[in-house]
Amino acid sequence: MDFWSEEETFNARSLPYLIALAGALIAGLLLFLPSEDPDTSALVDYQWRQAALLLFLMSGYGAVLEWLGFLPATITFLCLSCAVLGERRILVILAACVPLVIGFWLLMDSLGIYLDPGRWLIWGSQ
Amino acid sequence: MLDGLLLGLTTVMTLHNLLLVFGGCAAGTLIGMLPGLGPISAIALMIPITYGFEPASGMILLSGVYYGAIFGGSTSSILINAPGVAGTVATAFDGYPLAQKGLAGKALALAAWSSFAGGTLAALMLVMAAPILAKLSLGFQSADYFVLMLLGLSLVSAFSPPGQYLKSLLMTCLGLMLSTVGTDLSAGVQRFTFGRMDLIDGISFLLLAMGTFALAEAVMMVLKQGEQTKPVQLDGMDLRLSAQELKSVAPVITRSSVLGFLIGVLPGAGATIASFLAYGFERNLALDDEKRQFGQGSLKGLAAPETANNAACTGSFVPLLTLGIPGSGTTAVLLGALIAYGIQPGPRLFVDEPGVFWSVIVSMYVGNVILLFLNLPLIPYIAKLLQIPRQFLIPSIMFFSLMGVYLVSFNTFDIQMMVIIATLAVTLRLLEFPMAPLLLGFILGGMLEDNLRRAITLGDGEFSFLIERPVTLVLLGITALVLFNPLLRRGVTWLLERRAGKL
Repeated sequence: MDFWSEEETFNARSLPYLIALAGALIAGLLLFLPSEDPDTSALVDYQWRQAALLLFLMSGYGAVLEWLGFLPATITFLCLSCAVLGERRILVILAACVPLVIGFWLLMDSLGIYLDPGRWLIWGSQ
Repeated sequence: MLDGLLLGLTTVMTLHNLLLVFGGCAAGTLIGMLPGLGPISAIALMIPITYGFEPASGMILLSGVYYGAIFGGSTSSILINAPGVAGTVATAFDGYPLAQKGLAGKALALAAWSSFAGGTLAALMLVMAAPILAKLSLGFQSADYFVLMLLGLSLVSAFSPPGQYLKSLLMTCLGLMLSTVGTDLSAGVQRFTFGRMDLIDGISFLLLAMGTFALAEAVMMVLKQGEQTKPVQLDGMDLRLSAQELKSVAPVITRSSVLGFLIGVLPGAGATIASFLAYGFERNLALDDEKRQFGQGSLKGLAAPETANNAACTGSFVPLLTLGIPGSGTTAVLLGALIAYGIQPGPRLFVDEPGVFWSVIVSMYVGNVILLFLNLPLIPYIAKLLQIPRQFLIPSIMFFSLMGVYLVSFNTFDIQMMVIIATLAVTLRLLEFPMAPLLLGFILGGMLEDNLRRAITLGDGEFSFLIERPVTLVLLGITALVLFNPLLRRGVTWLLERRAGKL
């Protein structure tokens, strides 16, 4: 921050400091005041593994989207997500995912929105 | 006012905009019907589509989505007892028993008629109230706005469910803190960017809304996979209502419209409180015979919350359009959309962008008409969406959420950030931290800082601006009262108990 800004009553640091102070105060009250703990009995039956796998898949999709290209990356992502959620019939998965992705791609193309075909294709053609 | 209404009518009544209202209502109904996905998710999912439109057209589409999502939520409440959002929980009290009795069509028709009537009466009240309030608020200064925003933020916490007051406040702080990420435009300083170019412009509100609502909801659906929904009986629905039935619910609809609108105008209250209050109010007013029917499939018990939640939705547009302050999570997302279109919401909106102001109001009414006459007959077909197996539905929701954000920035960093935000949101939701205050804090954060800075600069670096003007002082007093309300209530209860003990 510039030295003249530091002298001002209200500068770029002021609001973050104020919010941090208020947040610390409220968090302290939340910790020390008596309150009811949330009911955690149902958490045992939750599908943690599936949820974690899906989050991992989404992150992986973000990582490979530009490299692999929209169509292959999205079809793979959707097919794997269906499989993680328990669908085992490969033909049904493909019949549900491929038309959705191609339809979406065609819609975007008709709207003039360019979706990356993938860097591997560009590298391959060089 | 008549000029304004005519301006709104001419804007909305073009084929393009009418199609947008219809499309918005249909898409909103479709998304809102999915258990867990409410108006916030529906609007967030549709915002990227509106970027190519004129601001007025964009807002017209989003208003349609808002109404459609509320109606869709009612449909899933009635058909499968799975309210999409908290605002339609009360609808399920009598709507689901009616559906179980084989009267699903009648319940859906009554819900649509009640929503229509509630929306229409509230739109009339909005037409009268909004311009007056907008003219009054033209005299507001930066200091007043700063305190008004503080009031809005504290009201959201004050109306939070029991036991979540401090959690709501903490989430508001988190939202405010996230809003400071990026470049501080007044000093040109980067804050909390960790040296990353991707964060220089701050966090996109769409990313935050999608991450905390749509995507987090999809993950929650995966987590709670054991709680399966029951199959829906859609064949042979009779969507007609008799004149006698309409006559018996007419007074209920009138009362609930006024109640719903007034509650909707209060920042922070919104559709949930309105629907529960209207339900309770009508139950108390009912005769003994009728009272026993509440909860067993009473038509009045269905009409009251349905009317009130729609009227409250319209009411919540009053602070948004006149003061630029959103009263709920949904209107906060709409405010974000307005800012994204390059429109500065607030009292000047009425003067600078009358086309947007009036077209939103008129589109609300047109949206209600379309919902009743075009959407209602389509419900048996749209409701088939509830039969899509979750192993295909959940990946589709995830895909559309991720694409909604990616197609705005074309930056895969946003996808990674969204996954992180969704993970945090799910953790916080499991710990019963509400998400709407976070979104509200985030969207109001920037404006709050600008107004505070301006007020301090105009006040020569002193904080005396808080007590200089009567308006500011009164608003500050109300804010303090709202903020310390739980403490005051405890104090009064303790005093009363002590006095009773002494006697």
